[in-house]
Amino acid sequence: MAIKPTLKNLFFDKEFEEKVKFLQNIPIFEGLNKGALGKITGIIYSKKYAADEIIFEEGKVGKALFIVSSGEVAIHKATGENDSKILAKLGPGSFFGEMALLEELPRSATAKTTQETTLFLIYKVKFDWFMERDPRVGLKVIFNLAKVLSARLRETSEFFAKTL
Amino acid sequence: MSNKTYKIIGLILVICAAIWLLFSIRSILMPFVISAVLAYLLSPLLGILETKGLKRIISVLILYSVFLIVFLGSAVLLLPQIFREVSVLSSNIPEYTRNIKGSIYSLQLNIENKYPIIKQKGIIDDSLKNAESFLNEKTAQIPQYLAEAFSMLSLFVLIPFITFFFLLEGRTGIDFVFQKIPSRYTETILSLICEIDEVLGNFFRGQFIESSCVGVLSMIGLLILGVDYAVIIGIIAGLANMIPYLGPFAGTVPALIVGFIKFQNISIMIKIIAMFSIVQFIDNNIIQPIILSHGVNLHPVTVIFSIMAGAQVAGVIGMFLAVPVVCIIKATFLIIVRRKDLI
Repeated sequence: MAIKPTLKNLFFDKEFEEKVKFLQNIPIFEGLNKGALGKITGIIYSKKYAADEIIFEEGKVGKALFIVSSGEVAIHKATGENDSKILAKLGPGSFFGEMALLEELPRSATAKTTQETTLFLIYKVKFDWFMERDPRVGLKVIFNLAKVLSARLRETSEFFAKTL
Repeated sequence: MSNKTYKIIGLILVICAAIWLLFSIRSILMPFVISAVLAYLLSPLLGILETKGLKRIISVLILYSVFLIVFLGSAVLLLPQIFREVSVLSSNIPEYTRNIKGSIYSLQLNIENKYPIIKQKGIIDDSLKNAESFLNEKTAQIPQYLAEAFSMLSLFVLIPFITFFFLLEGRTGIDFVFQKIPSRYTETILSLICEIDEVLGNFFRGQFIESSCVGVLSMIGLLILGVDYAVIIGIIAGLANMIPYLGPFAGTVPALIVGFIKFQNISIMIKIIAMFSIVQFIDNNIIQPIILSHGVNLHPVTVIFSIMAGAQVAGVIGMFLAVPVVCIIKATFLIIVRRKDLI
């Protein structure tokens, strides 16, 4: 019967379903069920950026984690007064600025869009608030975040080991 | 002057113009302010429904249905009692006035017999005449106050209507503003929104739950003590409790007056004060720690000053909104101080 999908369309938000599906594939939300991801959507802000727009600059205090929903972001590192080097190009599903969820310190690189991009933002204060109210889910996210940082540290160590 | 200085001056002028405009139209702001506060209080409940995947309109309708049932249930239980108490109060005022006059007259006779010099100077007569004219003037205004209170009933229709749209469109409005913020200020503005949200959320939700508990506890306490109009006084005590520090005292006064009129002795006043002290003790040591309403983090002197300033600017509504406004100013100031790249 077609009544079930009709009722679902009437009562349930399609955009929400898509957002939850998208978040399921982000490494820091790995292992979270639909209910937990639903709660996470409550602390996520979405913002559209034009092409070649600076998201944040190196040296400025970071307060949020960014997830690329659509488009592309380039991470630049200053190499001289007017020079910079692109460290990475991040597409949909990638995230950056994750250190800001742990501590408010100056950003180590500049993030800039290469095309029209939509980003999801999670702000530290909101995440702290979420951790207090739902420590079980919060702990899982922090654990995933620690795994991501550990993997990145290992990659950096291996890179330096090769250059020596 | 640099471009930056022009921007700062422009921003200050816009803020001043907005404050002036709000001040000029303050008489019509009340239903909008109450609706905004209600929408703010209800938004976490809406959030719970939305995180289950329900559409916003469906979530708002569910919330409204639940509140309609709760409101109608409370109205069925409480309104007859409130109307009964108001009608008994208005018919008893002449008797209360006679009782008070009688008590004061016997007290006057006692004092004047003991100290004849007071009678010779006519001190009590003069004071009584002044007090009587003051009381006559004020009691004559009671029907007018009641009429004003009932005219506020129209707000009961207006407020749910405005709140509905605030709940439905609130998030869209914030998202619209958020999209318009230049990207380099996004983190700063977002941090400002989140910090203000945190502080205001703590304050409003905390005050609402706390005041409801204080109102119910006061009502029960007054019923136990046998004080008349326990429901009305309980509601007044609960509402007054929304104003930090000064509220609890304001809530005690009507109970003391009614208690003294009925029982004509000091012991009931001591009992009422003790009862309100116990309620405040429970509030401070049990309710507040549970609901984390200490989140505003303002010095008591700052709170009292802001409440008095709020009263001067916008009366009762100003007293209620003074603390959240100071919290917003404080959060904004701290963000500006921490982030020099705001402008």
